[in-house]
Order: sequence, then structure tokens, then C-alpha cells
Amino acid sequence: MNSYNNGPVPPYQNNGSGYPPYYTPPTRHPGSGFATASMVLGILAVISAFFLPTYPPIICGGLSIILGLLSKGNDKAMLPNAKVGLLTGILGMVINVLIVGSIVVMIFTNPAYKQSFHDQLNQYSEYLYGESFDDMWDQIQKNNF
Amino acid sequence: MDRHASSAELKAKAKGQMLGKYGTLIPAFLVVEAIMTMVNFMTTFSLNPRTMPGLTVQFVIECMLQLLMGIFLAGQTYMYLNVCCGGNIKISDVFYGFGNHPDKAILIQLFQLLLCLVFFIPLFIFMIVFSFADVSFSIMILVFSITFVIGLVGGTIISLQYSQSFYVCLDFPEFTAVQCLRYSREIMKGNKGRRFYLAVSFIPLYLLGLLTCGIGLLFVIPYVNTTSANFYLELMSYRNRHNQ
Repeated sequence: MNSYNNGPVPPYQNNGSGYPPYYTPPTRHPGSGFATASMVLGILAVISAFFLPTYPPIICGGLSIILGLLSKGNDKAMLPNAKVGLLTGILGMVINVLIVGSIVVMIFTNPAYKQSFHDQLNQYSEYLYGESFDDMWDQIQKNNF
Repeated sequence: MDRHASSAELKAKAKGQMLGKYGTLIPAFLVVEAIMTMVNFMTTFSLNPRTMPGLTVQFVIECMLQLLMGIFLAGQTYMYLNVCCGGNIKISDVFYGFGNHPDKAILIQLFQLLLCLVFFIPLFIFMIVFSFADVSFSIMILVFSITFVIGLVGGTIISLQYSQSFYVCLDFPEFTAVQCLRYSREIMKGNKGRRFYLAVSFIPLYLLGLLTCGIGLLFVIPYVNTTSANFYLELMSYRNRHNQ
């Protein structure tokens, strides 16, 4: 240590000096990691609801809600990041349901889409099982009824 | 006014106690699940569950595995009680039951299993009778529903009554398995409704965990277990306050 005035002694050099530490570093909330993860997953849920609907928004949204709720710990209020995570997670899941729901409704109401879906289903069925979905359905009905 | 802690208070406490400990709790949970799945697969993969003997042997093996699970449950109970009391936890805590009276853990689990099975006897009888008799589908569904509900309700009551047995076993090491079960039944008198409500309140979180392909359950199950340990501690502290 030199004789210059180097400013106040940091608290970690102050141990046992008899003086109380003048500064205590801000303590990190133990749930802040979860809160940040919740926010990131919530934002991913919203983004994936538009670009990769069905599964990714459900997984990211669900996890963001769980992590957001668990990040609260014993406190009454949630951390700001957790609040954002919770809201974006719910939003992502709702948007996902709306998009997937509207696609399903569109397929079964618009005749052109319905026909195209039917053709694709038959094609996939032929590729996977060697016969079209319509033939399989007829066979099932004949056997059961 | 002195009252029992509400389920929200127990949950908040559990959430606070678990923060910073997920790094141990999740691997510990995964270790137990991996061992149980592996043992289950190794013992049942050669059986054909479509035949009656195969199904029966599989059922017997599943019951035996439940007894093994009892030893792991003792270890997990020890770990979650440690979490609640602010102690240090290690992944190896889940094996605590193997070194400390595994016989007691097996007996506790065996008695619980047998008591639950008693309520499912009507269902088993029904299944055996209906596999030989020719009865209409609607009657079959009706009888199946009634016997299943009897089994479900009885099994739930039994599991609520003896839900504190493993905690009692750890708290009172001098107790025998039967004494642990009796004591659990005694302390749960008048508290079964609260415990049931606590268990039911986790259903939405379980569903959310399942929606995330099970990833969320890695967080939800330790949370549920910690809350259950807090329920026991609160129950005992309330009892001690009122006995003084």
C-alpha cells in the first residue's frame, strides 16, 4: 500500500478494522436467473408462434410460465423479468392456439384447401402404408359395421 | 389467532427454499427416474402383456418395483426435509434410504400398497368375471366405472392418511414401520382435506409441465415435493404448539 490517498478502502480490505463497511454490493435476487430465462423463453414463444407454430410456442411458453412462477421465491411481488416472461409466455401460447385454430378452420371450411388437404393425406398414407387413406377408411367401415 | 398455514403460504415458502438448489434437485430426480425406468425395462421387456400370464407377472413386478421405490422415497424425503430446514443437499442423498433402515421403508411402502390394493379388489374380481362371462357392453362400462371409482376414492383416502409416514420414519427413527403408519394416520386426522386441496392445486402446473414434453416437470415435481415436506413440518409445529 502506498502513502497516496487511494480513496476509501473497499469493504473486503476492511475486515477486522472495527469500522463498519461503508458499501455493500447489491445482492442478486436468487430467482433472477429463472426470471431472465422466463423472459427469454416467453419472447421465443411469441416469435415461434408466428414462424414455427404448434409445438415450439407451447414448449417455450409453458416453460416460461413455470420458470416465471418459480422465480418469485418467498416474495409477494414478481421480478419485472418474470412478469414479462409470464405475459409473453401466455401471449405466445394464445397466439399459437389462434393461428393453429384458424388454420384448422380454414382447412375444413374452404373447399379448395379441403381438397388439397385430402389429396395430401391420401398421398402420405400411400407413401407410409402402401394404400390411400380413403381405401383404408372404407376397409375399416366394412369390417366394423 | 393460531391457524394452519394456507397452501399459498406453504408454496411460497417452498419456492423460496428451492431457489439456488435446482442444480441438485433436478439431477437427483433424474437419477431416481433413470434407475427406476432402467430396472423396469430390464425386468419386463421380455414379457408379453397381451397374454394373461404375461400381464399377471408384469403386475407382480410392478408391485415389487414399488417396494424398491419406497427406499428411494425415503432418500428423497430426507433430501426435501433438508431443503426445508436450510441444510446442505447432495445428489447422493436419494440413496440415503439404502443405508438407513431400508427394511422399514419397504414395509411402509408394502403396507400402503396392500391397503390401496384392497380397494381395487372389486375391480380385479370384475375383470376376471367379465373375461369369462358374456355381458353387454353398457353393463360392463357401468360396473367398470363403479368399481374403478371405489378403488380410486379408497386409494386416495389411504394415500392421504399415510402420506406422512416417510417423514415420521425419518423424524422418529425409533418407531417401527407400523408405528410410523399409525402416527401418520393420527396426525392426518382433520388435515386430509387440506392435504387433498394442496395436491389438487398442483394439477394445472402438472398439465403445463406435461405440455412442455415433460421438461417443465423437472421443475414442478421437486416443487411439489418441497411443498409436501413443508406441509409436514407445519403440521408438526402446529401440533407441538398446541400440545404444550
